[in-house]
Amino acid sequence: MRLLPSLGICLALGGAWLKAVEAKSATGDRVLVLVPTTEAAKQYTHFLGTLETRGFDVSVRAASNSSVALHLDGERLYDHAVLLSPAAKKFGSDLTAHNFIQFVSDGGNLLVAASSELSDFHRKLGAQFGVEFEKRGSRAIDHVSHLSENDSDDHSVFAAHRFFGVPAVLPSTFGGKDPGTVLYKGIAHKYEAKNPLLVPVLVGSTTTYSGNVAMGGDSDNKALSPMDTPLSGKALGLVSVFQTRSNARVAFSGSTELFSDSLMKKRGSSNTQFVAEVSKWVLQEKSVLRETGHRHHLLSTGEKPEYYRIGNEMVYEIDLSVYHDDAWHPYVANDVQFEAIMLDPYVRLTLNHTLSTDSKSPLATYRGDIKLPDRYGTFTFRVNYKRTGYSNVDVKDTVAIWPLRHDEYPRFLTAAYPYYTSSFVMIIGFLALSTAWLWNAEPRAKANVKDEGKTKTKPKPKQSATSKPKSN
Amino acid sequence: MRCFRSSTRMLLAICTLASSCLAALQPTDIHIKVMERTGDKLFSASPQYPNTFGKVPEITSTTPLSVSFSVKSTTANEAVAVDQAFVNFRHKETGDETAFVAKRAGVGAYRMDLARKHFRTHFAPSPGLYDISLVLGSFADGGVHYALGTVQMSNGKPQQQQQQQRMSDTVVFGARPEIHHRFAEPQRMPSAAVSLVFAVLCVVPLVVLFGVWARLGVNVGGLGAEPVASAAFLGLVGAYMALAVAYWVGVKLFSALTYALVLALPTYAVGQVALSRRAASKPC
Repeated sequence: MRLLPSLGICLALGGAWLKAVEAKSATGDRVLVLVPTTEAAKQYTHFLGTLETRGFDVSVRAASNSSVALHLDGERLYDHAVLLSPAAKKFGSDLTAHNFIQFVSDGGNLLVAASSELSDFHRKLGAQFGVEFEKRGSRAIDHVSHLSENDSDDHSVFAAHRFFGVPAVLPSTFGGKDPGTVLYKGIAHKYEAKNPLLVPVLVGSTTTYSGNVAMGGDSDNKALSPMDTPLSGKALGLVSVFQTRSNARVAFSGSTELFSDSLMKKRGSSNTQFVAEVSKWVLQEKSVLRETGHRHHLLSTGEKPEYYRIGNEMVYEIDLSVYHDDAWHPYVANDVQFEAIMLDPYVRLTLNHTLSTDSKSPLATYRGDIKLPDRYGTFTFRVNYKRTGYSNVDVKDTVAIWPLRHDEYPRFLTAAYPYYTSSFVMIIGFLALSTAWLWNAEPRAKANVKDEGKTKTKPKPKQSATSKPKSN
Repeated sequence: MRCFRSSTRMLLAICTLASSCLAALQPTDIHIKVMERTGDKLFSASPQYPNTFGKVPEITSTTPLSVSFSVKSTTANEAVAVDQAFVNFRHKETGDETAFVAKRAGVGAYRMDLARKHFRTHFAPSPGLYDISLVLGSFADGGVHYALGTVQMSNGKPQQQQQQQRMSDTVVFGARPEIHHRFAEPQRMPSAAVSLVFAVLCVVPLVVLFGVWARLGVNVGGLGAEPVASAAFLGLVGAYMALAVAYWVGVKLFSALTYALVLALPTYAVGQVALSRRAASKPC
């Protein structure tokens, strides 16, 4: 009898615990954090604590731990991986850069933190995503914005405040007139500016450059030759993010110190907020788009036909939602476009956001009234929505557009009136001629005259050769 | 949020104050020259720190830019060597930056000459207005960023061509230009009046025919022998004509054939009666 209440309490507690660790990411809550040693994890207590507070199931492992694996029987063991061990040449028993790339290809998200002592592993991993780290031993240096705590400071801890305006990754508080200040100590990287999948989030100021630390009066940084173009200013990446075409997310930071308690706890530092926003983006807690439904039908009937005809007027609708703050919300934008494609797009139209009657609905509906082109063939109706920082939405429908039937072309044209008239004239003429030919009767007066003519002039009977003339 | 912003401002101020206290560097003897290939001076300026040079000189691949300066320590009041001596160019429109390392030309003296190959590599693809500045830094003395002025980098191509080239190189995620399909123009038709005139002309022969028939005395007196069957036969033949018109208007082929089949039997029967009686009623 005592078992039942105890069981009930256990169930209630278990439910509460489960709710506490309910995933807040749209793609799962299993996070693998790889640190140089388990002792080194103490430097990141604040960062790891925030992950757990946000509901993630965090597994901290040493990089050299041979039991570390990313996949088991082809399935991912984790949804996200955070690498905080920049000097590690390999992870686990035999995890190479290729394994992590495969992890990302399978939908896993990755946060990579490097430092001046980064290994070839990190360099190769970054190169796969268009991030080219500087030479080992170099650092990002800023003689103007450095955080000076002692005279022997190497100016490698500095305040970075040049944020790229990517609203999907960083909120507006990190831009504009009053940007935050992120304390940074680490290595710089080049990023492919023309790669639309790779976006720099934090870059160097005009006075920031990548160089070797020159200590002890060794002036004239000998690593730089005259007329060299050193990595500096806007081209110098500090933190960059990458979103794959399959919507997996990767972030590269040249600094592990960015995530450390020492810099996060410094007064005036925005590191906590910055790391929180970037990690939320990487771990798919925000800016995740999804399409919940789409449909198309004829405007006149409201029904979806088996095939369309050229020139048909149709309606296309699509529902979009965005994930943030632990829930799905309507995604409101003014640049969702519809395309009708047959090799090339024949129609590209911006869809209109229609207001939902249900204020609590988590989706936003976009609608467009489209007149199909006067070309028949196999078309693709597509909404290909790619915006920096947001998940990609690519919705395709293959439809057939048929030519008009013989009786669907414009008919009864004024230019054809003579033809219509002549046809009806022919029909009437045929009927009239048939009637006249079959039922024409001779006029009666003429008939009587004919009869009289017949009676008056009776023909003489013919005499036969054997008959003898009468004799008197 | 206010506490966050104010503490951030304070940190930034601390960093700047620290650097300015430590920044005991001052650029001096600044000379900016734009020369012709022949050696003639097109532009020359010697701004004093922290002022800028006022004019905007135009620089092409054939008119190299030369910037020379010295760096002085304000504490020691003598020329010092620095760890960072960059001449920075920042595109006003795109914000892209290119920095060149200045060559050491003496104790604390530096010089940068923008040769043709550097111009072609860095500025010819993206011409326009650039902000030029000195970025100096030393581990011992801090750093200073000195905005010198603005220069115009020209590559000789018209602006529209440059913009098109720039746009074709980059892939930007965003809304694309709308495409509105251009439908085929409807065929030009003659005016309705012309059509009506010709339609009337088509009717004229029928009218003439009926007129001539009337004069000749063509009649349908033979209908009297069997009016019902004859009228019915004529009606059914007319129905076949109407079915042809209906097929033209909208009735489908197989429906029309079905109707024709349905009409066939009564037409035959009625026709048989009407025509046989007509034949019988005709005088020999």
